Amino acid sequence: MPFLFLAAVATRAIARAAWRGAALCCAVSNTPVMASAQSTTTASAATGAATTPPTHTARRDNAPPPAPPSAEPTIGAALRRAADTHGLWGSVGVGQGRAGLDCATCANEASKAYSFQGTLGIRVTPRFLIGAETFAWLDVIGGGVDRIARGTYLIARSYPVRGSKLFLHGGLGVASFEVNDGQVAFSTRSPSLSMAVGYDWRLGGVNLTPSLTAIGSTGGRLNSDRTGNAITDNARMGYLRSALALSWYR
Amino acid sequence: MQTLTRVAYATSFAVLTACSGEVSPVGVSEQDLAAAAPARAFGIWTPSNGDTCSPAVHNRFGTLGADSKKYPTWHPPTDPLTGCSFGHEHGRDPHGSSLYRDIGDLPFGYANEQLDAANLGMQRHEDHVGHKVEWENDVRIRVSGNAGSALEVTCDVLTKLHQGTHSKDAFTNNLHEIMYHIRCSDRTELHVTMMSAIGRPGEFQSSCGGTVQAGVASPPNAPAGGGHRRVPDAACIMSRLLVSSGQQSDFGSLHESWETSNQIRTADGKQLANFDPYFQVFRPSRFFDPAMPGLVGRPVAVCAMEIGERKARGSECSGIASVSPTGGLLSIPYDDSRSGFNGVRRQIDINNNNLRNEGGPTVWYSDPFGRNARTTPFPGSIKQFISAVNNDYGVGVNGPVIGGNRNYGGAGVRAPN
Repeated sequence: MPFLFLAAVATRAIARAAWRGAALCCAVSNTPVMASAQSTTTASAATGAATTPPTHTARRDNAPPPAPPSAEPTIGAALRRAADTHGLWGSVGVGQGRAGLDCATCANEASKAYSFQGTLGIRVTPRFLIGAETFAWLDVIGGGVDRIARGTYLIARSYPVRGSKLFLHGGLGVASFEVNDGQVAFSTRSPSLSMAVGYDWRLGGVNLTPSLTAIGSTGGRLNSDRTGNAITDNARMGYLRSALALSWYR
Repeated sequence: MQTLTRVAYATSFAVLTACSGEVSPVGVSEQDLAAAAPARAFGIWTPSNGDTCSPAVHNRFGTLGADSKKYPTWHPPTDPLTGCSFGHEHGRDPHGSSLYRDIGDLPFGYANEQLDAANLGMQRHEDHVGHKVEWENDVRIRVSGNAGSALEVTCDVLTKLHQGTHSKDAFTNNLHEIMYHIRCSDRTELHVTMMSAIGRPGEFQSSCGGTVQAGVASPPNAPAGGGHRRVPDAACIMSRLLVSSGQQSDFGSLHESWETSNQIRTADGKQLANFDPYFQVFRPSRFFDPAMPGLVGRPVAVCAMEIGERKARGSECSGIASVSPTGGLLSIPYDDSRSGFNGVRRQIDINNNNLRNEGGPTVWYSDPFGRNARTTPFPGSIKQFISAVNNDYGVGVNGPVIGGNRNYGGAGVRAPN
């Protein structure tokens, strides 16, 4: 519950920051974003004038002026502008971590395996990034049983210390955990929270980014895939990962 | 430790009695017990052959059934207040079970009593000493397959079966009262009391293999059930126990295994629950012997047999046969407390506990055989509890063995037990 509150606050903060970025863009007439918008608007108006009559009636003198199309206050547009202003970022990495299920009917045994993860997002400001991250943790070698954890998150990353490449990030998403021996699989999927700390090391044109991530999920219905019957309604997943990624910031 | 337990038990009972002046050893007020109508199972035990307790002492261990009648219930082999001996035991004290808090005392013979009222054209009443309680808390249920290793289902189990292994009853009679309570971490929960039809009436499976036709069942119209009663017969016992010099008798062939298969079904045949515990007794005091007038052979008597050089050899027979004045062997009576053939060592395989009641009502009323389950009571019906889950996970989920490490002997316990 506290995380949902934080997520709501973060979303509002992102939107506000993006909106401020868009407003700043609008105020500077020679930015690529504004130039593009203006030219599009002009072209549309010209096309409309040439092919269709005006659809609006004469504006009364006391009516408020219509908002300029270039100032459309949608989050999507604002994010697009923020991306154009500050750039995109992404990373791919490998890691190693321990993951396991915890529930009233679970063996509560964690195992260690490799994982892969990728992130893609935009830089809202130089020190505040948002994006989407996905990972797969694969304990599939030996043992006669595969354990696979997956997750996809909306994440926010912050570089809290000016001039430092140390970052913190948090994410909210969905994670799943599956145990499969080829005959039967038990799986669960539930809301999940991701928290990480990491550091960017400049390495030529890219960054080498070590990180430590903790992921948890709760409230999952653990099902047998063979019968669809639930074994428990409250399976929790825990996952602790250390990873090394290559990151790009454009 | 046993002495301490007895002292603690007696002290707590004395305190209870002193405080209220009217509480039976198992918690029902003596006034309520005295006022209640007796079920057929109540008050049928009488002392014999060295038992030092009176029926009055025994009858204080009673409880009330859902029909408000009084029934016998579990008691220790010796009365904690007077120290007298009952000569029989009912297995493990249920007060230690995690389920006891919700279930209370087990009314022995309740399902038999309901059968009388069910208008099914049959009656079945069983003796007192055959009621055997067993329980275990937090037992781990095995989930088969590699994926099953990720699961760890634990259960509290409390059972009672009427499993008499001293008389000819079970040679022909397949109907035996079972009480089965289980609560597991995967939400499986079952509280069932019924007459378990174990195999076919009139016959049993020999411990050495094959079916033995033993006579006419009581009741003769008893329905057949799944599973079977594996009981030793004379041919099997003679060949396994009477051995030549240098060999050891196979006393394991005396082992009885009553393998039950129980269902709760609705009138249209829908199966709500099934459970298949196997009840096993290692040293019963009887075997089937068609040459005997009562069809009952006694292992203690085999200990005194000699056929040429073949005789029973092993520690089980030590001290229970003596040389007669004429030079032959004499055995002690089968109900002598020195005999190790008294049925005090038992174990239960919990096996399957399958529920198919997802989203359904948890309280059902079935006839005494678990059939015709519906949500409202009817004459002769028994209230059953089945949790509203479907616990079929597509893999085998089997319980472990419980009770195998316990011995309920001692303190004057002897056959018939």
